[in-house]
Amino acid sequence: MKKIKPITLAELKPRIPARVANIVDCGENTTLERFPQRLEAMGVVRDRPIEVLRQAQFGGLLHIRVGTTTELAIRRQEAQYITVIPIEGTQSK
Amino acid sequence: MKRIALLGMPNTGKSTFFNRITGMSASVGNWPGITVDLLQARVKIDHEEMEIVDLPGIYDLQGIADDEKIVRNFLENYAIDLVIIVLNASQIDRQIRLPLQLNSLGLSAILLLNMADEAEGYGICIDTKQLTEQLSMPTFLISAKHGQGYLKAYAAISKKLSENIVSISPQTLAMQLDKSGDIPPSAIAEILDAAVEIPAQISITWTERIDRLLLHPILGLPLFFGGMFAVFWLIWAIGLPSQDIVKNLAEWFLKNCLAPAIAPFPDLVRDFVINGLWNGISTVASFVPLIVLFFIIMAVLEDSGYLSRSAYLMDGIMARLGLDGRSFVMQMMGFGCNVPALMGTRVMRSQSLRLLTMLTIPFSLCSARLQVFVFIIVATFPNGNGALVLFSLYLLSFVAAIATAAIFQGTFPNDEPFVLELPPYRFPTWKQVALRGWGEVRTFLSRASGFITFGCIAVWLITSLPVGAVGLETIGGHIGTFLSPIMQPIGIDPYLTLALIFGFIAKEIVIGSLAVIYGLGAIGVGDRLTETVTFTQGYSFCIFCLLYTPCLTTIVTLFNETKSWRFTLLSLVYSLGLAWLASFLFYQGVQLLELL
Repeated sequence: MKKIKPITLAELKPRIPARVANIVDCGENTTLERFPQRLEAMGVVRDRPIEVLRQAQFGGLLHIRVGTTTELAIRRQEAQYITVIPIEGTQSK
Repeated sequence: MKRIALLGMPNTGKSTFFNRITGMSASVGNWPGITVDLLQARVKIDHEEMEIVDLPGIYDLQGIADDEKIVRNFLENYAIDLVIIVLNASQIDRQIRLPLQLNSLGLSAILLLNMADEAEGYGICIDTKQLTEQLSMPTFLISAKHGQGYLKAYAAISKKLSENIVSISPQTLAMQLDKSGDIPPSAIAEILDAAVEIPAQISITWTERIDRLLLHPILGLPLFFGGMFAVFWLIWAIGLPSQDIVKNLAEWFLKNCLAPAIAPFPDLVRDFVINGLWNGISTVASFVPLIVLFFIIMAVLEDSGYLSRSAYLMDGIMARLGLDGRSFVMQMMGFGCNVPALMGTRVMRSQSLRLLTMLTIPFSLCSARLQVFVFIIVATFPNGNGALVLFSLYLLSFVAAIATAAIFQGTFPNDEPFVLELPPYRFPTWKQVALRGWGEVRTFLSRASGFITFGCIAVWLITSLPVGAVGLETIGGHIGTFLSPIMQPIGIDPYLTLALIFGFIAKEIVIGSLAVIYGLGAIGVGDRLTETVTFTQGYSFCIFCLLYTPCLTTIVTLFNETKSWRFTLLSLVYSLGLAWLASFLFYQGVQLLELL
């Protein structure tokens, strides 16, 4: 079985189911301090299912679903801090 | 008196629960050391009066966002006897983090899993007995909106309060907060495994179907603009006529009750009561229906879940200006009235984003300014297409807002990461909507009425003194003449200058004040303007009127929302400067063109 390398959420194509691999530590004393914790509170937690539902026009937000019942809108820039692994067998869809 | 605090994540229906438990008695409380107003109420539970405070919705007790700091600050400064945690039952898998964080602090707490009906619809099963045990806090499934489970929860709250648990001091709590670390995902998983069952996949929901249309890559934005236009139209079609109704009522009262009642008094006193006090107060009152309507629409938009979706749609464009999607929504709302639009920025979490948005909102061409423009355009541009002139002012309103955001985005850098929840679509209940409208109006009235009354008295004084003087001989007239070196280059004569000074109080009195200044009736004023003011001068007046300080109520709201004199002053001075510059460029530009 081929091991799939994690990609960032910003690179994940819409409608491809994936799992959260990691949230990159954004460092302290920046505006992104505790951003990983915020994401965690919003349900972006390692190993949970994640999917991009759609992308807004003009380089706008990503509409994502994490877990079963939580939907979020996130900017591409912040989506780069989340790495995901597409679920096997669904990549060619 | 015992104090209860409501704590919860955003979009959990915390405010709905607050309204249910407090009825209509909530008021805005000012807590020393806390930078924002918190909703609070006194209620009787078991014949004992309690104080309930609704804290801002937060994700993370340890977080560093503005709201989270406010909550933390509150907990560290005020003793609390009971914390009621409100979570969204269908998102318990992630929201359980908050009660776990609170648990380590040793506060007495009750956990309410709200929107139980929604969770049931998703097929989520929650064992509250198990949770009560695991978290060692009483846990209840409720629906704050429809009332299921509410009585049971209420009984538990009253029982918990009667136990007279010694609440821990804020100082101890502050230390605990510093010490307590993050909740490891394994701790969350352990509790969830034992007490909660969530299906891995849910069938396609209504929300998903609606989103396919409303968030469509191509149709989404046109639908959004169509919707905004409908809102604008509603405010227009219902709000403006309702304003007239109140005005007529006020006039009737003046004619049949007030005027006869003060008839025996001397002229000066009568003039003061009618022109100084009554006209000012009735002007404020005429705003009430507009504000009720506006907030009803806002409540429907927000509670239905569409407001966050419109932010999703507009964010790509607004991000370039240092704003975000929600700023644009408020901008549009400002076309009705700037005041509630400013109040609406409360949904923003980042303070600098909020300030930048508040700096742009006063440029929205509100309905009061519209009245002035229609009057001036008709008088000075009689034979042309007035609607087109009016439209150009709407365009200018947008341009000014965009330019302001571009100029100040460096001063108010908004680099807070932007992640927004998109809750499922929900039907707001009538009660919810009505409560919201009523609450906001009360807040508006208590804040605005004092200042407006004061302002109107001041205007009356400067246009009535010295006794017997009229027009340019009054103090106000002298001010108009005194300012003419500044106002002449933009084509505004002393009479119109004086009207602009009145416009500082409220744009509604601009036209009325012209009548006082010229000493003529409304029709006479129109004729006089046609004779003495050219179209270029009239348009320059409109530009100035659009961009300079919106009205006293807006300024007071700006201050109330920011609690900063510096910011309020910045907004005031900046818009005055911009107004003068724009009028100058227009007026002198046209003069120059005419010379060529």
